[in-house]
Amino acid sequence: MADRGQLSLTMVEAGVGVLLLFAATATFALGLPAAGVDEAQLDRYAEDAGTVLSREPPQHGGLTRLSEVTQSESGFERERAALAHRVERILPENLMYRVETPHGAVGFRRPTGVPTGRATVPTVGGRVIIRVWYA
Amino acid sequence: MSDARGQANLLSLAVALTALVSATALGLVIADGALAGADREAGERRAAGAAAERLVSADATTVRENVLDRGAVEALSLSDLGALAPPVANRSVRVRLDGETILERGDPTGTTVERVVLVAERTTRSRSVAVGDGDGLTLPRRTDRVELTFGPGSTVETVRANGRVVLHDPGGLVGQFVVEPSRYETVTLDFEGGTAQVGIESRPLRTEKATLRVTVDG
Repeated sequence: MADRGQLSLTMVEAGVGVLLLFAATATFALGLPAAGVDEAQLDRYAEDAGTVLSREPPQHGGLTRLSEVTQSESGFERERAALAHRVERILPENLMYRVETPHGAVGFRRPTGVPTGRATVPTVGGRVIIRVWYA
Repeated sequence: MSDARGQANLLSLAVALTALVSATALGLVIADGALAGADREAGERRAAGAAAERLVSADATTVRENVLDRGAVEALSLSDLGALAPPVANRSVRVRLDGETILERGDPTGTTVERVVLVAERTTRSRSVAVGDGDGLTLPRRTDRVELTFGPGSTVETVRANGRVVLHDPGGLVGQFVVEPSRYETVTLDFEGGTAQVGIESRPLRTEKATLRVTVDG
């Protein structure tokens, strides 16, 4: 009984102290949010792609390239391949993209849990949402 | 008994101290790392972002938003950049367009901001055609600037661009005129009222994609 008491008092105190220190350490290790640098850059890519597309003349009819695809279902079907090709040309090679229009989407399926940049471009036919992420 | 107790205490004290000191050291190392990681270089990031934003939107360097004028960008000097984006005026900075360094001061290794842009060059297409009353002419590329030069003896009275009257002179158009059609549609010019030898010079923009990188050091 006496032996147990001797060893444990100091060691228990030390153990409690170590736990306390680890608790403080854990706040440093876990408490910081990510800087969001990737998202900021991806948002810039998406915004730029939207700006470039929204000021491009249409392939056939309509006001701009983007309003052409939001105007009608048939317009979207006709232009989807050209739009995908154009977005691929504009964006850097290490990016994947998805462009959502009221009549459907072109591009790749968006994976969950990866940083994604997003830009919304209003057109006369509805909103176009551009999402990009690192491949 | 009392000796044994003293020895045991000393030993456990040493163990306890060792454990506490190593836990403290570990905590300090992690805290230091966390503080270093928390340094976001906000000023540097803002300067790089501002410079890139100004370069892709300022009238001095662009044709329209996100479309850079190649000539203007290549003629840019460091003091021009400082005037465009004051935050980078006193920092090391490097501006690269598609891997080609355009401007450089010092050797910055800090934050890099990338922008997707188009680089535009004005090309000139000229040709000379003889037109008669009622003739139409479709320009092969969309453009926002066409120069028409009517030779002497021209009796053309009216020029329409896609049906809209852009030039009209009942006495016959002679000399040089500038027509600014919409860049968003293909232009068809119609000539009415007579015949003329017309020099047509259109200035379509040719664009290619590029990446603009601005690196700034705090």
